[in-house]
Amino acid sequence: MSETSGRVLPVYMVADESRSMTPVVDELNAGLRSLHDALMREPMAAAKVRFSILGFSTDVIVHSALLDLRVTESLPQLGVRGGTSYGAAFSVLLDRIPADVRALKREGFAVHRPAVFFLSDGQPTDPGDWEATYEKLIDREQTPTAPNIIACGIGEAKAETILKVATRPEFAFVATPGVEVGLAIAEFCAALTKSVIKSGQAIGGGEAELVVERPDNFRMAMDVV
Amino acid sequence: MRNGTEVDREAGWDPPVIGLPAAPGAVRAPATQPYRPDTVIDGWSSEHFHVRCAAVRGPAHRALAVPRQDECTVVLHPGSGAVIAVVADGVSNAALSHLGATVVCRTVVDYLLQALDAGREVDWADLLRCAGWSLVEYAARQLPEQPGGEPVFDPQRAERLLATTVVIALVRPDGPGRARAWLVRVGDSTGWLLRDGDWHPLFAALSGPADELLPDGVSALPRVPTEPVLVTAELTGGEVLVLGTDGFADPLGDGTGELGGLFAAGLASPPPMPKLAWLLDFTAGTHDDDRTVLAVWPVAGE
Repeated sequence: MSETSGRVLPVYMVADESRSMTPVVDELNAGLRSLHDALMREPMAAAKVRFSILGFSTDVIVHSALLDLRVTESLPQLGVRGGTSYGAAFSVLLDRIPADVRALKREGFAVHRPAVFFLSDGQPTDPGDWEATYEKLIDREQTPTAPNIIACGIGEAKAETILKVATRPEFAFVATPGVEVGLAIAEFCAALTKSVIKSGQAIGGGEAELVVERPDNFRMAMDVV
Repeated sequence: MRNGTEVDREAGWDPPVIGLPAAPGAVRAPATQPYRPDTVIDGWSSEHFHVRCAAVRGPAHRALAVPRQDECTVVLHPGSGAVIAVVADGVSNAALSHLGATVVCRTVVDYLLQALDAGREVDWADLLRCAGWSLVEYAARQLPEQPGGEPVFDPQRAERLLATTVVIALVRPDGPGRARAWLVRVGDSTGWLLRDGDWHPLFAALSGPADELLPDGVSALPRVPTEPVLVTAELTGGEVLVLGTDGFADPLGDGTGELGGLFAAGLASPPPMPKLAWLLDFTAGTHDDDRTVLAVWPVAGE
């Protein structure tokens, strides 16, 4: 590839569609609409994102795959169905993410590490089963395209479970008890929008040490900015 | 004018378009102080060299009212005829990285001018440490958490505020039409030798076509490599030394595409100064970062 088409960030919204979500599914759909509206106002940011929406319960429905939000009229609606199988969700991600990255690379894009925004309102109905699939998904040795996972728990979801799902402690969000669930979802969607729009360079990477002492030869340049 | 933030296009001044054209985006005033121009252009000629550089704010920063985070500086050391060339790219996630990029460029120039004045060998690792420390010092003195107190030298805070990549070249004349260059870098700003229209990278690629994903982050000052790699290059007749930020390097790729051809032609000889900035205002796919190019030509021998 002589020239790349640019950089893209694959983003996966993975939302719980178990029956207990019934009271809040409208808020979730409204959150997705506002994400879409926000990105339509930021076409350059939208150009660098490919957005997939997956709903999970006992199985997974891929509502949309690798959408370019600039040319998407409206986002699909999430619904409600059976249980809360985390294993089903991670298994589909494990299939799709490497294939999606390959497809984007074939189109000439350089691809950022994918981001998964995982939202659940309950404890998994497959405890003990989902962990192995999850470990494989996030292990960068086994899965070079392993995503960063930002996890948000509302309702009955326990903090310890959400912490296990998030790939870093600071990527775990649990709604404070007493806070309206709809508000928590709105905040989650706002955080999603912000991070999608601001998917710029991150600090870090490479073998480098912080300079911690003033070097002997240091002098501040005379003409400062 | 269409509206307050769009720029009128004028016949003959449309910047180059690689691939599909894009609708012109908004160009907003940076929402920061101190003053920082959208574009800088510089150039001069000496007994031994011609130099040109331009740093241009990318479409994303223009639309989001973010100042240009790229910086370039090129100075002549009168005694030796050497050129000191520095290009820096403030890291997006560091809030004031545009200041970091400028502080580092000035510090590097100051350090190398001193070394050349004193006729001493350049200690490249020390140079990078001093460049890194300049961010810590600047954050402590110019951006204190508590104004009026004793300065607090906090490298982590300096990194959060001011992190920047840098690529540095010291180019010395080496006989008629020839020169020798020494280069070091931190992060993904990089350099090439442009020879007969071909782009020869001077640094190893940070990620290759076989890599599944882009690197997770960019290494940047005030972090310094544990073992900095010093690259040397000989410039002979007709070769051009080019430094650039990733906003140019990414779309350039291996240089065999349209953008590579455009800049190879544009830099075949020193262009009129505004032309380099005009070229850098290109549209190419989703590439919307700030873009900087600094080029050095040895003056042809008799």
